[in-house]
Formats: sequence, structure tokens, C-alpha cells
Amino acid sequence: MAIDCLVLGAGQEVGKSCVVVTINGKRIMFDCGMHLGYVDHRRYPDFSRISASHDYNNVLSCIIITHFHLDHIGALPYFTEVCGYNGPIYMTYPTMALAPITLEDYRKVMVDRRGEAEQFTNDHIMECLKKVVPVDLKQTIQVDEDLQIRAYYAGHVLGAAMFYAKVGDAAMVYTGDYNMTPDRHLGAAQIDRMQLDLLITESTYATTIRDSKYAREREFLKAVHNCLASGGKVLIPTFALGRAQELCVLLDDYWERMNLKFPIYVSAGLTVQANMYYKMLISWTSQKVKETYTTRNAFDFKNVQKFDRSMIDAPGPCVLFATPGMISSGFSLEVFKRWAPSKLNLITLPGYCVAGTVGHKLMSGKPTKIDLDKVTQIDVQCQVHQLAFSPHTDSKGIMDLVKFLSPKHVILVHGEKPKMAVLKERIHSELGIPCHDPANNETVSISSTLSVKAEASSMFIQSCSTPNFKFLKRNLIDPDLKDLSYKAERTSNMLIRECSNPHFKHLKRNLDAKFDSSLSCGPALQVSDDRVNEGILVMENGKKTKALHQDELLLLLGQQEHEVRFAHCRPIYFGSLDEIHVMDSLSRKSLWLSQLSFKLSTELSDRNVQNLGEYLQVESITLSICSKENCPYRTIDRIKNESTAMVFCCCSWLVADEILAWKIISILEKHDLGST
Amino acid sequence: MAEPDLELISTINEIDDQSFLSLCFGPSVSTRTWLLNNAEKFQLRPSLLFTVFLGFTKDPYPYVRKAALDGLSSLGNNVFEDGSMIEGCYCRAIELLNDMEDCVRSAAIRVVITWGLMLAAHSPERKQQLFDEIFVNLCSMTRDMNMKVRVNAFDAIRRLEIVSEDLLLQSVSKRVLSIFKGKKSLVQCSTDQLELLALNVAGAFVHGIEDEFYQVRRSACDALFNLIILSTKFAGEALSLLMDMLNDDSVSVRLQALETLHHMAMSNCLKLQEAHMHMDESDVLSVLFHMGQNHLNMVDCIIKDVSEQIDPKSEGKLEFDSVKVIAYIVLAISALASDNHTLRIPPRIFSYAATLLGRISHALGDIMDQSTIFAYLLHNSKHIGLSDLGFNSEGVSCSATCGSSVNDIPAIASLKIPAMIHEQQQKDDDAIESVKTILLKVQDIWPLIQSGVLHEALRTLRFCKEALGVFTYGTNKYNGALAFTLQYLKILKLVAKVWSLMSSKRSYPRRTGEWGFLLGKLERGLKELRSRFTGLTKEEEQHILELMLVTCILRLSNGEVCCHLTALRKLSTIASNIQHLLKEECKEPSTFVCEVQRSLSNLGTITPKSLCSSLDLREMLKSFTLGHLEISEELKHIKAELVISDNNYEKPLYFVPGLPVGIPCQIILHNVPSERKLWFRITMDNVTSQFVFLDFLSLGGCDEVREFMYTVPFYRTPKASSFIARICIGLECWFENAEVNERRGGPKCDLAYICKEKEVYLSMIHKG
Repeated sequence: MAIDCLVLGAGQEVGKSCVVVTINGKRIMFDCGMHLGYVDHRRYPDFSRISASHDYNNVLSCIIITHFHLDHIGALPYFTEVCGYNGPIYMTYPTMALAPITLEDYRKVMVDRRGEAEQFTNDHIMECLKKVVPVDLKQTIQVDEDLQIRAYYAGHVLGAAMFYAKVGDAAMVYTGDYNMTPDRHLGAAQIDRMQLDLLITESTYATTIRDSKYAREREFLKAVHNCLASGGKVLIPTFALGRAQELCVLLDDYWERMNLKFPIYVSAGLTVQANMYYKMLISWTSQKVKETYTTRNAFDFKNVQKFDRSMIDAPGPCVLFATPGMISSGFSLEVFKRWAPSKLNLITLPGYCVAGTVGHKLMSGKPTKIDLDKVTQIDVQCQVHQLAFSPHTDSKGIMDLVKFLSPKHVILVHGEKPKMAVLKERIHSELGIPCHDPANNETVSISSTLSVKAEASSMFIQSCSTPNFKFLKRNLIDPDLKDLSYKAERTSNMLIRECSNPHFKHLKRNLDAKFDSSLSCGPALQVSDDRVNEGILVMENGKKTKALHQDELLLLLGQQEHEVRFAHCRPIYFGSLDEIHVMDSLSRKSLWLSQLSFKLSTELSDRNVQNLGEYLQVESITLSICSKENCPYRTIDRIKNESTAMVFCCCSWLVADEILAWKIISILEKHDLGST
Repeated sequence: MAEPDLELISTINEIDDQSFLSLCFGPSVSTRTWLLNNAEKFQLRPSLLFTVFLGFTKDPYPYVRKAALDGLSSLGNNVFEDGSMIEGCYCRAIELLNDMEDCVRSAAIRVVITWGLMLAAHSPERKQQLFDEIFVNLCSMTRDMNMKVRVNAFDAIRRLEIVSEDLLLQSVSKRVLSIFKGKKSLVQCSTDQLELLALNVAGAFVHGIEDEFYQVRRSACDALFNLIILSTKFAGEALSLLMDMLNDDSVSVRLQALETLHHMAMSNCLKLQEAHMHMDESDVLSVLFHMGQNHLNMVDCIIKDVSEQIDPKSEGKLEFDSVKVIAYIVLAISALASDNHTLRIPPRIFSYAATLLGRISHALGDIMDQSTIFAYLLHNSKHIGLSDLGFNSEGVSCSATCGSSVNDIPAIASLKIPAMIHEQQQKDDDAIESVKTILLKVQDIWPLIQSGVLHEALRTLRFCKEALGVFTYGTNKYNGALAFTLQYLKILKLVAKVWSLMSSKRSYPRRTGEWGFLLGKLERGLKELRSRFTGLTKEEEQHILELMLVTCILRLSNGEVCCHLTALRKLSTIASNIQHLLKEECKEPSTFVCEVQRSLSNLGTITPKSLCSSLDLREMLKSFTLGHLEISEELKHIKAELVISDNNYEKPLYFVPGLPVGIPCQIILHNVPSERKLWFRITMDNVTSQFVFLDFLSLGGCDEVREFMYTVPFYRTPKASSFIARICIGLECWFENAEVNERRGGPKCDLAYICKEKEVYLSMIHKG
């Protein structure tokens, strides 16, 4: 079976995240975003590729939305209300709460301000959200009989989640956007280690490695404090949700610590409303916020006040948060116009600004004049500080996550093409995991774990439930033999692995390398427990698949077991014949055997020497008195000294006990010499 | 073994090696787990336990694996002679660091460190290599998704004694260092694997101190404890991380960071750079000043060593940009503030300090004020001519302050820290002096008011007020007197305004609205003046009463018939009050009072209509002159602070309509004498008020300050989904009877409000 992964958006680009994954016959759409850079048909994913007949309800099992950002949810009302998808939609509770706000805000900007034709109405948004099933973190949802999904905390933004999906034994994780280092107001991503066939991860910062966040915070605080101390005003254009809260918490803490009295203002509207949501959704925030919650809600900012439009020209230093983040329009632009001409003031810029916005112009070089339109020109004298607080993980974080989850395949989305290529190569070379970075509308097929229902024999079950560990003590004296035993074990390990998968070959190569390295400095004592390895899967035409214990196999096949044994026959001296010739041959044999048994037990204290009457047994080695005239294993044909009791002793053993066997033989030789 | 069961214990004692093994190897997983977890309670041979534990690390059940690993960790106390056994166990634990289950990985880390250390002790020739290997493996676990695994990893790193410098440096950098790229490093390993090793180690500590959980951050700080001694370069890098931790939210993290820093200092590898100082400059300077006072010899030594560094390098120009130099200077000047005069601090340092007066005084604000510091610095640098330095006294722009300070030098010359208390005393005396001067001066405005030069009068009053504003509230001993004087000035301003309104002919008919408003304010102000201060002398009281008489007459002269009767009644009450006071003092009444009394006795029976004509109000007012008010220094201002915490429109108090609701108030009362009565007034809609008696005596504290929590019941909750109530504290004025409130069991007398009115947000509780 295979997992087919059709990338409808965010393939080698950032924007309109949308991946349709088919696992063992179930089809899931992860995210349904829009591209903010386009206004034509390219703004939405090309849904017709899912189903040419637009029969989405029968084709898709469900839609999963990771978080409320427009590039992850923007196309959802269009897809459900205009394209007519009616099936279930899953998202976390906070995403469900915040999604209508961002969607409606976007719709208003598009329709009211830019005068575009409406893609979807407010009613569409509301209708669309009625189809949503909210989920909690780590809550396992059974979408249908075969499909299971589960959300994990992703950091990034309030309510962001990674989603795990499993059909049969094939399992995968879609990360959405995530952050591997904690913010002040949000935690770091958190997920369990699982057997995964596929990991689809974002790669916004595929090559960036960030410094300690403390240094970045310090730099920001220093810039703000210096500006205020010299009487300037600080304008922080941000989006209403996310960075605004992060910076508010940061500044509020700093104000508290330094006992500062400068006012911090938040422009009314969305931010105030957003702060309220954060206050309610405490359980989705960072550990620190949760810990202090019992005494104080961290979003009850002590130093933050609402801003009134009339205060723009009020004298004195202050900090102001204003939307939108890229100073493209609205209040932040209005304030920018007034504050930019003063050298004392400071403007901070978010990490990313769309081309064409004032923010983008400020980022590219340090202009002294900005032409807003044909008649308006802004004189820019103020200081500019670039914020370095991104809610996306850096490349080390991506590598850490991939390493931790160790999936069989990785697909990169949501990033820039050249950078993704670098990361792809690193994942392949450093972690040995095949990695893909498909472009939009490309499909990647990977083989998935095949699940087969099989009956198990009672012997197999018995063997599985009973511990059966063995210690393997490697003898370091003979490197050749050590190598031999090693190879034997490795092949047996390898046999159970299915080799049809190309990834396995890679794994095998890796394993080989590992074995080789451990061979040089590996431990002398190793433990193994092979109860599952002893199982054998039997698939016969027309019969039910069965798992058997390896001992049952011969029975099933009606075959005899063949063993390759080594044998050696040599004479041993047992004192004078006179003392014992009175005895019959049988009791003479048992006397010799018990003598040998005693001798071996004392020499090999750590081995279990068993006297079984007819022969002695140590591990696979058997030792018996040979009464044959012409034993084929004999190296010395006749007994030289007739007067002494020289008896032929025949040993046989399996290859695994080669070393021990020769040790025993040498003991026997000593026995011979010692008694002369 | 959760419950001690005698029968069970006796059974346990019977379990020997053989039965233990047979139970362990049985099919029941829970029995197996239990036996492994409690294996130590049986008298089993350590070698047998070792075999069993090591074997069961291969069990498919994670809890069995965990129990086996835990068993191995606790076996670590025993001595095992067989190197291959130790190595086998250690290697198995390394394998299990990649287990799927969190609890197994956690337990494996403990085995890795315990048995790894044992292995190193067993084969000392491999120690360095082993420690590096353990370090790499543990560092790779610091990026685990499970918090406990990360804590365990750092706790384990803490136990390592030696690690190669290259690896250490890599652990504080998220980027792979160049030493690991191809070039042969000190770490004993093949070159191919080097970069892979570096990736495992990269930024382990950076991630550790950035962690979301304080437990991890604390462990990370602790893990540095032993390692920082190993390499100075690493110590420097680690120091930057630790300095960030000094601002952590969690106390335990901060403490741990300090402990590690302390260990660093004790081991002589603490090299603090300026870049590490994330503290505010003023904090650092203030700490240095305090340190200097307590450790004179140290200061002496340090300054001797660094005095050259302090001296400016370029000729003639003083540029003390470096924080370090300022720190030295502060340290130097801190010494002479102490008793020991044997110290030899070069006087020029004091003159350098004078140029930095602004920054230094900002830092030492809690110890002495700017002028004191300046005087002190000038005194100590007197051997050098000020003109020689050509200094530009930064921050000392006010010539008056400067001048007076210089003049004060003899007084402050023998300056010590206790002397600063004296300085405060001086300041207090200044305050009361200027209060007295102002009160003397303010009586001059009366002729101005009478002659209608309102402008001039108001300007004089404003000057007086500004002069008082210099003396800050809060620290002053004469706060009461200051507050009284300010209130008095406010009242005079109102009197002046009302007077001019009355006498202005042009604006007739009078602007009754403004007139009434100002009069009301004046009356309230006088009421406060009379009731909110304790320790008023008879003279002061008489003065206030006379002003009240004036106010009454002013109100009468308004011509509003409706309130004449009350005003008249008030007039006679006040007049008799004055008479009573004068009798006690055996003093003659003023002409004004005589005039009023005469008019009142002439009046006989009062009828509203006859009033205006029969009383010559103008005459009466003309006879009033503003006397000199001698202020008592013992005045105390009665005030209260009222806080309703955690209440705003988003977080209202909930109520059930018709049932009382409790409003939790945090209250601080200042100078309320025990015989006075306090009331809460709660208004809901500006019309109806509810009064609640505040029995503050039962709540402890002294007359000066009482601080307590008090839940005020509000009874008349309306049938509204939400509303705002206004609450404030009022002081019962013993001299004026209340007119409206008696029926509701409220205060008997009028209230003077002693705190700001607070808004309380209430919201109806929603069912379901």
C-alpha cells in the first residue's frame, strides 16, 4: 500500500497551505489556506485536482485545519460554501473561536476597502463554522472506522496544533506551523514519539539558526528603553493576535522589573478583543503563564492601557501597539505618518513584510522619504528596529523534530525552494531519511506499512508472553569468530525485515555502519530477547494468514530439521584398566561420563554441564564415549598404550559453540596429560 | 508494596532466588513489573539481580523495561568487578535512549550516567573518551519532547567530571563549530562521525536555559556547575547564559544560577565582562556604593590599583563613557562617606564624580538627594580649584539649589550616612518655614479681593501654591501642615472667585449656575478643612469658622429664597460656636463677628421675606478681614486609600438581584482617631446612596496607619444584568447634622469624604 501526498498549496512557497493525503484509501485534506499575494484564481488551491467531478464529499474523509492564520484557513469558507464540501472539519477549540474573527476581518478588508467582488459572505463564514468539530489536545478522534486523528501542541499561535493521522498501521503527522522554542506567552511544540511512515513539516526557516532568545529580547528592550528615555515614542505595528501579546507580556514584565512608568497603549479594537480571548484560553498558553495564572492572569497587563485617537499628538514618551503589522493601511499607517518625521521616535518592524507595504520599504534599506501615493510623501527620520521574534521554528528545530520522530519519509512544505533543497539534503544525509519537497500540484507516493490480519498459533502466543532473553558473551580473543557470530546474528535480524521498501535498504546500510562501529568498541556482553523473532508468518493461498512459532514450521511443512554439526573424536585416558575391568561395560561408561562431567563442571564454572546418562551436554555440544571401531571423526586411529584405559570420546557441536567446543577438547587433552 | 500487609510480608520473606525467577519468567506482566520494582526488598544476590534486570531491559512491555532500568540504576551502588558486565549494561542503556516510551528513556538516562561512571572508574585509561561519549549521548537527550527526560538529562550531565573543551563549546552554540567540520578535533572519534556528534551536542545548554519549564532551566543551570571549571572559554560562554537566568521568573532558577555563579567565583573562573551586566546602571552603582561603605579596605585596594584607569586619557576633556570607570568612581566616593579617614582617595576623583552628578544622584536617590551629593563632592574635592576643571555641572541647572548647597558646605562637611537623616530634618524645617511664610503673605490678598482685583489675587495664590509644591509629599514630617495649607489656599481661591462674582455688576443677573457650583465647592472644602485634620488649635478653628460665616453670608446674599432658612440657621450655629470658643479662650471677638452677632440679635424672629432687607449683608462682609493664620506643626491629615482589586468590566463581581453582594475592599486608613466614625457610601445611579458603617476599631492597627481587608455589603442589588456602583469612605463631621440620611440608619452627621470614589463593576450571575 502507499501514501499519496498531493500538494495543492505551499509547495516550494509560503502561502495557501493545502495538502491532500491518501492513506490506505482514506483521503484527508490538511489545511485549506489562501495566498495573500494573489487576487486571481491562484489565491485558492486548485481543488479540481482532488476530484474532477467536484464530488468532494465522497472523495474526502475530512478536513483538518491546524490554526487560524489565513494562509491555513482562508479558503475554507469558499471550499465548503461555494464548492459545496459538506463533510467533517476538525480544528482545535481556540482555532474555532478565532477563525471567524480573522476570516471576517479579511473579508471586510477585501470587500469594503479594496472593493473586490465578494468570494464569500459573512453568512458563508458562519455556515462553514457550523460544520466544524472542535478537538482538544491529545484527544483521539475516530473519524470513521479506520481513520484516527489526534492533535498535538504546536506553539506558533494560540490554538495551533500538529495533527497525527492513522489508518490501519500507516501513520503520519502533519505539523502545520510550529515553534520548537517556547515564547513568553506560548509553549514549545510537544509531541509523542510514534512509529510514523510520513512527516509533513513546514520549513519557513529551512536554513536559519537563531541565537538565544534572551539576547534578542534584550536587544529589543534596549532599543525601546533608550528611545523612551530620550523622550521619544515607540510605534509597534503588529497583527492583533500573536506577536502583540508576546511583546505585551515582554514589555509588561520589563516595566515591572525596571519600575518604569511610561505608558504602553494598545489601539482599541481587535487587540483588546484578542487579549480577552487569550485570557480565556489560558490552558493553551505557555507553562509560565499557566503557572502564574493562580495569582495573576498574565494577560491582565498592569501597564497597558487603551489608546485614544486624540492621543496621537499628545506630548511625552509612550509605546503604542497598532494594527496592521506591515503598516499597509489603517491605524498603524496613520500613526506612522505623524511619528516618522521625528528623530527621537522608534518604529519596530515585524519579521516579514509583503512587498509594496510601508513596512517592506522600511526593511529594504533606510529610506529618508517614503511616497505613500502621488501626493503624500512621508519624511522618515525615526529609528527603525527589526524584530527578531518569529513564531516559526528555525532549521535546528526542524531537524530536532525530524530526529525525534524518526519517520520513514519526510515531505517539506511551506518554505522557499532553494532553502528547502538545502534542508532536504541535510535530512537525507544526516538523519538518513528520504525527504521530498514537491512543488504545487505534484503528488508524492511513498510506500506505507502494510497491515495484515493474521491468526496467531497458541505456541507463538505462549512464546511471546514468556520472557526469553539470552546473554551473548562475545569472546574477544578470536576476531574472526567474533565476526562470524556477529554476521550470523545480523542476518537473522535482517530476515524479518521486509526488503521491498527502498528505505529499508538505506536503513540496512545504516545498520551495517552501526554494526561495524559497534563491533570495534561494542560491549562483550549483549542481551537479546528473540521471542517475536521466533515467529514466522505463513501465507498460503486460500487459507488464513497465520503467525507461528518457528518450532511449528517444520511440523507444518512436514519436513525434518537439518543441522550442521561439527564432530571430533579423540582418545582420553581414564587411569589404569585394572581397577575397573571388573565392571560391566555399561557401568564403566557411566563412571567415565560422571568423571568427565565433574571435571568439566569444575573447569567451566559458568556453564551448565548436564549428564544425560548416554552423553554429556554443554550448550549444543554433546560428548559421548565412542565404542565404534571406525569413527569417521577420529584423527588418531589406534590407542598406543594398551595397558592404560584409553577410551575414545566423540564430541559434536553447532557452529555457534565452536569456541566452547575447542575449549572443552583442550580440557580433555589436559585431563589426558595430567593423569600420566 | 503499597500497603503493609503482615501476611504478605511473611510470604515475601519466603521468596528465594528460585521462586523469584520463576515468577518473573511467568506470563503475568503485572507480576513481573511488581517484582522488578520491589526486587530490592528480597534478599537476592546482586549478580542474580543484575542478570534479571539486564535481561528484562529487552522486555516488550515499557513498564517492565522501565522497572528493569530503575533496578539497574539502584544496583549502581554495588561494586562489580567484571568490566564486560558493566559495559554490557551501559551499552544497553545507551540503546534504550532511543526507546519509544518517555518513562523508559528517562530511566535509561539514569542508567547511562550511573553505569557510565562505573565503567570509567573501572577502566581509567578510557575515562576521557567515555566521558565524552556519555556527554554526547546525554546532550542529544536534552532536545527530547518530554520534560522529565530533559530534566534527567541535565541532572545526569551535572555528574560528569571531565568533558573535552570542543564538545563543551559546541554545547553552547546552536551552529556546528568549525572545529567539527573535517578538521581533526581533540575528541577521539573518526572524522566521519565528528559532525554527527557535534549535531547531537549543538546548543544543548542554549536550549536548556530557554526551556519552557523552570525545572529544566534549573537543571540546566545546575548542570554547568562542574563543567565551567574545565575551560575558561566555555566558562565565558556559559556565563552569558547564566546572566540571563538572573532575570528568570522562577526564584528557584535564579537561585540555582547564583549558586553556579558562586561556584564559578570560588573556582576562580568568573570573568565578568561589561556585556554581561544586564542590570540597570543605577542599580549597579547603588550596590557598589553600599558595598564600598561596608568594605573600606577593599575599596582602598581597588582604587589604588585602578586610579590610573579612572584618570581621563585625553588632555583637558573629561569623558567617562565607560560604565566601568563610573563604577570605580562611585566605589571611590562611597568610602569617604564612612568614618575611616585614613583612606586616601585622591580628591580629583571627587571632582570627576561631580561631572557625573546626574547619573550618580539618579543611582543614589534612595540615600541622598542631588544637592547633598553635590555639596559632599565639592567639599571633598576642595583642594582643586573648581575653575581648573572647567566642568559643566550636568543636572545642576538651578542656580538657587547650587548656591545654597555650596553655602551649606560647612554644615555638611563632616558628612556621614547618619547625617543624611539630618539632611531630611533640614528639609522638613525648610518646608514648615515656607508654609509659615506663605500663610503670612497670603493675608495680603484680602484687600485685593475686596477691591475687585481678582486677577492679582489669584496670581498670588498660584505662586504660593507652586512654592509649596517644591516640597514633595510622602517623605515629609509636616505632611499634615502642607496638606492643610494647600487646602486653605484652595479655599481662599474659591472665596476670591465667589466674591468677585457677587460684586460684579455687569453680569447681573448672576450666573447662578456657576455661583452655586463654586459655593458648594467652597462649603465642602471648608467642611473638609475643619473635619479632616486633627490637632487643630483654637485659633485655627476660629479662623475656619469665620471663613464659614463668610461663606454663609455669601450664600444669603445670593437672594435665593428657598435656602435662606437653612443658611440662616447655619449662620447662627456657627456664630454661637465662635462665641463659645472665644469664651474658653477669654478673647475678644473680631469686628466682623461682632457685626454678625449684632445683626442676628437685631433680627429677632426670622421671616424669609423680611430677611434680605433686615440684614445688611454687604456691611457685614465689608467688616471682614482675613487675619493671620498661625499654623500648628502637629497637624495630621486624615485620609484613606481604597482599592478594589481584581475588578473591572471584564471581571465583574457577580450578584443575584435582590440579594446582598459583598464588595471586597482593601483599605489603608491614615491618622483616623479612634473616636471618629467612618462610613462607606455606595451609590448606584447618582441618586440613591447606601451607607455602611465601618467599624475600624475592631480591625486593629494604630491611629497613624490601619491596613485591612473589609467586605462591604451592598443590599439593594437591582434587576439589571450589570451595573456600576461607586464606593467611597466618608468621615462623620461632628459639627454638622445630616439632613437626608437619618431615616435609613445612615450617619447622623454630614460626611467628609477622605478617599477617591472607586467604581465597582457588578454583573448578574447567569444560571447554567
